[in-house]
Amino acid sequence: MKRFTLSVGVLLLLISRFGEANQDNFSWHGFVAQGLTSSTDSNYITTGNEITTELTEIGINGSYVINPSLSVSGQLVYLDGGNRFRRGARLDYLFLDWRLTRLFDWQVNVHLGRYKNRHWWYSATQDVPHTRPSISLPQSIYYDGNRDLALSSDGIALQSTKTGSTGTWEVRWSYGRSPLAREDTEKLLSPQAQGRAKQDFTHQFSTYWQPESMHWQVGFSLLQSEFTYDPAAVDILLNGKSGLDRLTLAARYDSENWELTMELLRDRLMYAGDFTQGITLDVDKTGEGGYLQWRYFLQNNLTGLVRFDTYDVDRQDRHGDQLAFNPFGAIPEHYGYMDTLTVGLSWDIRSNLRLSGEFSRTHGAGRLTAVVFPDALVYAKPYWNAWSVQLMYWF
Amino acid sequence: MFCFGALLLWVGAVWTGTARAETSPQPIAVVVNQSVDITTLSPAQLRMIFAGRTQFWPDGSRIRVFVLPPKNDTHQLFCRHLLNIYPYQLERIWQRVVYSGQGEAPKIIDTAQAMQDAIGKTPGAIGYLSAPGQINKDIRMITVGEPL
Repeated sequence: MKRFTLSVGVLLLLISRFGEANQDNFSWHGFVAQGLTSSTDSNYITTGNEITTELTEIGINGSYVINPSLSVSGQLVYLDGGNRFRRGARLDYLFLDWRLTRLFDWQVNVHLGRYKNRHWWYSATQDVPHTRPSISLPQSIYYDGNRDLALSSDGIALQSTKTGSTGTWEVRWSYGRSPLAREDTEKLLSPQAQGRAKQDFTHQFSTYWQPESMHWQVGFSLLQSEFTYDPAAVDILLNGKSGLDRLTLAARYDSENWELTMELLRDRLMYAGDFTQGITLDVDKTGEGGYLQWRYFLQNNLTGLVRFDTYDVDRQDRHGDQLAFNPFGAIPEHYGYMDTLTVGLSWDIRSNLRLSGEFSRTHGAGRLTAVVFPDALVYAKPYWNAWSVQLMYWF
Repeated sequence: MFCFGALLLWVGAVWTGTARAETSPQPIAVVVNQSVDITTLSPAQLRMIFAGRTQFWPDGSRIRVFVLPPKNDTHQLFCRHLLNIYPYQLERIWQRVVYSGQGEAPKIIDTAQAMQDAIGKTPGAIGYLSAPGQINKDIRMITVGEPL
């Protein structure tokens, strides 16, 4: 909390001090979005099928150019997504941007501090409503339960963009760790866990290529992360370690009137630990999933969206049959997978005002929470729906 | 199995929608403030500048980018024929740059005359004009083609 307050103070100082001092080198932007949302037959967004206004996203960012090699940037956000993630304010990023090269064809930047995850299509601006294709992103890749782990970390990131006659290459690397709140431990493990899970590190690499024609972009990313559990004096879990390895493949095609986007992933999740009841946890399973998304620009101001998203928690058990034999208690089989079909429509009322709406139908619940402990599962029937309407303004 | 299915569907859809090359119906000139010590940019370099990825000229001075509104015909032609991208792709890049702390989006100017004035008054500025006849003495055209 102290670190958050300090960071907010630094960011506000940045905005006020540099905003007055040198407007040419200082810029700031923001966004406000409010919506109505509900999930029925599932507690993914709301509990008990209620309709809620818990769909709020507010953010402000500032950037100050110190000299041609250095600048500093930061963004504060307030998020409320119902049950999807922790409600509250966050320091989204605050980093020193060091430009190592000043070549027209090749840009290399190092980010020090709280950097953004830029390794997936939408991760760099996942909390910025008007930059997303839809109000909720496909859960196979952009799993809401991992939001605070996945989107920004404290450490170092490097990115290189090289352009030439063969196209544009982007290479990104990062190493850091994300601070976890108490609620994250409960979501990752169990409400009964009294200790704290902490991320030891997250190590990521990605590369993307876009040919000179600029219609295509393809790439892949790798992620490796480890976690350790610090037990409380009285606790159900005596010790624990967890690891995650992830590979994603990404492709996008841009046409005059439509865009087609795809990301596929394979992630290997490992849990190991000892429980007070004498149970030893030793989980090693590989999940697979991905989405295919088509956006059509109906007119200048209207965009339609159709997306199919799928995820299997364990590629050796795609129908969830083995979940009945879970050592911590039987889990319904529909928690072994999750397939979602989403349709949406966005209307740009003005150049900085958009109204979006979407509806999704889902079979399964495998991406609502980590499927290990029955008491940590988010309730859902085998088939459930969700819808959202959101008005967003940005400047 | 679903991965291969999705891949096939994706490739099939893209195959039927491959865009064709178009020719520019009218010339568009890239113009800079007289303070800019550059005479030629390659198409890739121009794209790096207008996408917000290159923010400084080789002498270390700041690049100030000006564009016409997204629906302006000249802007549409500039994106398609000189940057070789669709206007919505450029907008997507700007949003990512601005809201992830990586730079500043171009400043949008309402008219071609205002564009000339803004570039003329702003050191380090770059923009574009449709078929410019007489241009302001504070700005000049640069060539887009050969690399620096």
